[in-house]
Amino acid sequence: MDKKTLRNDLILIGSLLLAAIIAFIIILVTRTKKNLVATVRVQNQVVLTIDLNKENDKHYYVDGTNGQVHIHVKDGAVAVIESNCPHQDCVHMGYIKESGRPIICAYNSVSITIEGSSSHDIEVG
Amino acid sequence: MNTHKLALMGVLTASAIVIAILESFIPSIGIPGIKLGLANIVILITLYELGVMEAVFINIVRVLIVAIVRGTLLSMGFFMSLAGAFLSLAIMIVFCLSIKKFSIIGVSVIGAIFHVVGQILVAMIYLDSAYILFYLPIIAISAIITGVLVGVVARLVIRTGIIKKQREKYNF
Repeated sequence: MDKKTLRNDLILIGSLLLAAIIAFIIILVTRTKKNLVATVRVQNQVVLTIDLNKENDKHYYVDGTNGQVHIHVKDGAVAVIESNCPHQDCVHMGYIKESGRPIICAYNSVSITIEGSSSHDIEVG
Repeated sequence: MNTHKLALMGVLTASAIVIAILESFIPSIGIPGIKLGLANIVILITLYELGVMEAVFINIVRVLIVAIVRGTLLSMGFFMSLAGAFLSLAIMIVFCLSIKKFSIIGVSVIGAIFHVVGQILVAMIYLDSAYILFYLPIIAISAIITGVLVGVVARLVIRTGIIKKQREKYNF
């Protein structure tokens, strides 16, 4: 490994890391914080939207492609608390309250994303 | 085919399979079933020491056997591994043979990035959702770290000359 390829390697690794960190920061900054609505999709079809500011301590049951997913809303955060998928990755994600970190249950083709709802902007003022 | 080469390929394939199975015990970040690509150690060594066809062969056998052993054949995880493994290998072949600007560590990092890109693309198609792209930066950071480690290990193995000695001795 001569000096030139070593230098190229360092430039490559550094620029890739920088790009990833910048993209990560952009996602952190741009994620919306107010008027949050959780959208539940099955195979990209919206089946349920939950207003996280209004609903509290409510349970929802959504039928996925391979079974039922039990969704719980509490203190402006949403979680999958029960699912029949083998790895339970969606359950282990716990409660989420910001966009940029969707819950995905691949086994049931269910995704829960949090989106800012612009229609409520005027109300809050 | 030279018997010694056959034996060596067997050992390399077996190591790739064992590393891939061990790796599947590491919990994945965000997207279920996403892998960081530690088995790339073997693929890189094969690519540099034996050649393109050998690396492609070991890659196919590795993905198939790991899927059969773990019972994930034809599932979303299987197609994610397949896409990740081949996208990453294709890019590494280009950078190893045509664009000789980087050492094995740089090539490994590029391979690791495209390994996760391939997997995320399949997950996006499978789940029909663009939101998965949000995970790319954080997964890419861990892939870069894995890529450096894989490259350093592959370089150390190649520098021992263990495969080169075999090739010279048994003439393959």
